[in-house]
Amino acid sequence: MKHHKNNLWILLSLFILCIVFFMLSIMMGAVDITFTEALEAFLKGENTPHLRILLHIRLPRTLVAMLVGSALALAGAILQGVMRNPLATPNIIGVSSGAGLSALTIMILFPSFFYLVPIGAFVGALLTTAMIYTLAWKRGIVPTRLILAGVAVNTVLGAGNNILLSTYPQRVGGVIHFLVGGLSGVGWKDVRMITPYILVSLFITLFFSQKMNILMLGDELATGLGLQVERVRRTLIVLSSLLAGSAVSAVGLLGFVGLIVPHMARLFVGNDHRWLFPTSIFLGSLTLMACDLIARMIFAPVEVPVGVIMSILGGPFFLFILRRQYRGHGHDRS
Amino acid sequence: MIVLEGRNLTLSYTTRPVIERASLAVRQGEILSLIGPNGSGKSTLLKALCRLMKPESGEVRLFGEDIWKIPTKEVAGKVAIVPQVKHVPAEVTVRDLVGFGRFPHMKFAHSMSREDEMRVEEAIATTKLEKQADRLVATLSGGERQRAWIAMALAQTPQILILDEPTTFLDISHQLEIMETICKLNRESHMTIIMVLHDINQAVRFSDTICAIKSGEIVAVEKAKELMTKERIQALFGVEGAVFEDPEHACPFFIPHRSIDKISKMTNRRQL
Repeated sequence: MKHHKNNLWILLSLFILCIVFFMLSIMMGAVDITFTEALEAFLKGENTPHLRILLHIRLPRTLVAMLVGSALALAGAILQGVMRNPLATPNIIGVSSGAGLSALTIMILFPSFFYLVPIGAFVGALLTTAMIYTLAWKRGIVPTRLILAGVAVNTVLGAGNNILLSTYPQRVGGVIHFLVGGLSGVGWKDVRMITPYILVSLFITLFFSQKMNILMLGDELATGLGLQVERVRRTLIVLSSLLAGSAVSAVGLLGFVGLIVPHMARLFVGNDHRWLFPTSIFLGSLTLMACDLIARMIFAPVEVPVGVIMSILGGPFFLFILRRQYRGHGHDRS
Repeated sequence: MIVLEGRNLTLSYTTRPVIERASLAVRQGEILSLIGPNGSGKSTLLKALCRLMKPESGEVRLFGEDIWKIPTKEVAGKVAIVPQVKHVPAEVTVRDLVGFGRFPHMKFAHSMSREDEMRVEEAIATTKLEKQADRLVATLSGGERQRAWIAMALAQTPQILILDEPTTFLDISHQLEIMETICKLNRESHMTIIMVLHDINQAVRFSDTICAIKSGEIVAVEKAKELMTKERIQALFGVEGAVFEDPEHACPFFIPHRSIDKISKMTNRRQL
């Protein structure tokens, strides 16, 4: 925790990179728009095709990428801490399976209510988290029990998903997009829907970073230091569910960001959550914008789902991190 | 004056109580040690006394008030705990760790004031960790690490310090070092100390009062030196031995000869 000055530089560089990639992301794609063209289109306010592409396709898409990337990364960082488990992701608290089941139910059984998919996915994610939390409760929450309850609930809901998919194989085609996770087709309605939840949750989470550090000392020590362990843990789980649930509702099951970005952030700034949380936010935005850019450009004009790019690049990177002798949290009985 | 008191405490993890209707009062400025065999419930009782465990029935009073009705942060300003199991976070230096001890005194922004920093340095000096202050806790030896946890507790500036087996897993010189530090805190800062100890000789030498627990019941709360007879140790631990006096500290000590419980059980089994 002593490299405060270094960390500040890292955070600043990430912020600048975010701006750079934001610009790149709205300028590059199937149609390249130069910076001057973009500026002209904005200033003159003419209804040119370029301006329409910028305003109605690229801008909302880039904003969603930023929001979703930061939300998933922060949700992962929170849960890895709360569960004291480096493999924790939002999937553990049922966000994917819950959102998946309600979204698939709407898409397959009630296709005429397709417009309800985002809100349905959001509600499904939160309800599943609540269910897992309740099932794991027994005079308080122990991380291991929460993980096990999560595995059990995820298995059952996953079976539900499979029943739907195998009963209506002819409708699977339309569903794939949601299952793989992607940014194509997102628009201003998605931005409007997720922005309030994500921004408020990001903001509140930052106030919990020192409490998160205390929580890492173990329940007994944290209680001894005057932390309301159970309440802080519950709040953090709700926050991560809100973050990941909003993200999933807009882009589908894009899980990997939540696992890998917090670990990248740890490489940069270490495990002090006062640095880890903001770094995860910027790095998550950056990662998703960059991957989306690659997804759009690599086989242009054909687009690859961003979830695919994330996994192909993320998997090897994750191994690289593991090889770098990742130091987890020790355990002391002295 | 009684600073911490458990009244009629019944404590349980499952349906079977570990401690039944136990009462214990701790006076200001004393060192009280809980002793007893493994599984007797002494750690459980200690946890209940510092609100780490909610009693099934009965109450715990801190300075006369129900400890569960006082905001937990306020309790943390008066009672500091060094539990048995602690997680060592990666990349935390000793100074950072001791800094966590200021948490109960911090306001909303969680930033260190000058007083906070002063208290941290004081705690580091008291536990003689000046040289290790910038090292990572994870790289310390067992004895140094235990001192770091105690330093963190001291940074809370508590009136009562609670320790669960502070000397277990340490070699004899580090054990002594920890006990002397604790004693010094008691003498110089009049801190009330409550701890669980496994070593009865240590408990008798360093405590004012000993609370002996056997199978979930408090069997004796007495002046440390009065408890030390071979008959009572045998009744408590099932160990036959002899009591001598160490002239250096005018303090009785116990030498174990053989464990009778297990032997009699074994002979019983053979007879069956």
